[in-house]
Amino acid sequence: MELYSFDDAYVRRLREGDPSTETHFVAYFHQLLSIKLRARYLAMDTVDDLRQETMIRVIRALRSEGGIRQPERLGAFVNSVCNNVLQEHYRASSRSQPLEESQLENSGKVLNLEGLLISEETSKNVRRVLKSLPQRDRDLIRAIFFEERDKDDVCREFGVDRDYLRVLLHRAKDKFRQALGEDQIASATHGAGAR
Amino acid sequence: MDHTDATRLGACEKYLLGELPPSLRSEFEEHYFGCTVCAAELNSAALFLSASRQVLGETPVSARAEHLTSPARPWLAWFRPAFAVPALAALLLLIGYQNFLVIPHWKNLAARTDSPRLLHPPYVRVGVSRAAETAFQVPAGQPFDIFLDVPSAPPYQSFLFRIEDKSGVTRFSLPVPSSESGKAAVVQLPSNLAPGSYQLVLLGLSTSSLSGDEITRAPFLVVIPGQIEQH
Repeated sequence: MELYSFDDAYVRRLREGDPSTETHFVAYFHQLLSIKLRARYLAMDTVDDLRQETMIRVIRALRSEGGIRQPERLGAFVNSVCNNVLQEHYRASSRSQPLEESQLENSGKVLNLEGLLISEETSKNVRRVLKSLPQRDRDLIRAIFFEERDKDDVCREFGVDRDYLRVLLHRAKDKFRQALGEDQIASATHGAGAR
Repeated sequence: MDHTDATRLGACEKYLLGELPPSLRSEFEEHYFGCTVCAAELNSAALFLSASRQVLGETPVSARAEHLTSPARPWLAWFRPAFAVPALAALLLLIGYQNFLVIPHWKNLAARTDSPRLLHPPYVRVGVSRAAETAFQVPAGQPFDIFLDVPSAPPYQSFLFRIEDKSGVTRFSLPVPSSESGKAAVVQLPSNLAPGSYQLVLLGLSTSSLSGDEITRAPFLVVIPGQIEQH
């Protein structure tokens, strides 16, 4: 994967509409924005709308007078634009339907990552990783991320604690990264990002 | 939060498990938008979990996991997703079959008589859009037939017949294949349209116009039987 750093040159190329820089920008932030917005348990079409609005506003800001003053903080800028877009969405939603406090805060549920486009290559590697795990760990991942059962109930049932879950996720993630290779992760996530 | 903090906290895993409190969640999000290392970790973890959901959905629950359900209340096992979901799906299918096929079929039959009747179905001609004052009327609660001129195919590959309510919202749509082009088709309006104003729209579809070109638009009114004006 060609490495890009968010610096003056990158921002200038983006402002000028350089195609490869634009492609990288969209692909890089598309996935991160999707993850951030899905952490709010929003409907898929709302996630798509808010993500698009965020990208549009960032590009507009880049091309406006003054542009972005700190190119090295481009990522933080994208995040803060997304926060503004989210706040506006919550305000607009609360006008038609009062939002409960818990809807705005972390509900303790795992992130809903359904719907990311998955290539056959990725599926194959995930199957391999899951197969390499002990049966209990496979069942744990199934219970938490597929069946979306309550984490405390699952931990009690399997006789593990929350730390074990985190370590399991960490190990599985590392195995997956090794199996897929860094370049392929980039293209797999960029492929998903291109949706 | 810097990279060392994020690593020490195990922020990536906690974030995905929904275990970060709101303030830390915001800090981690601000961090990973600026840290390519954490962004890559998060992306790969998210990809792994998303793919795992699909893969695990393909494979059955292990025998060991089944033994983990409480033996003291075996009848509760019937409510596990492995049983409950297919049972619910079958029930929904049955309800759908009854509501959308069987009951309307019998209602339709009941609406017909055994002796011939003289009908004057409205005729919607291609290229002629009616104005509101020439709207035809259909009785509520009964199926109603309309003659429709389907244009000859070029430049359209197929057509779409649509019923819109007075707000412009599509209530029903019916694809019309190219095999019907150049023919007079009979379209039966559904009997469950509530009284009110509607528009009948015929769209021509082609590769250059995927959302469709409007060919014909005809307003009609669904009225309570007995209130239909005689022409």
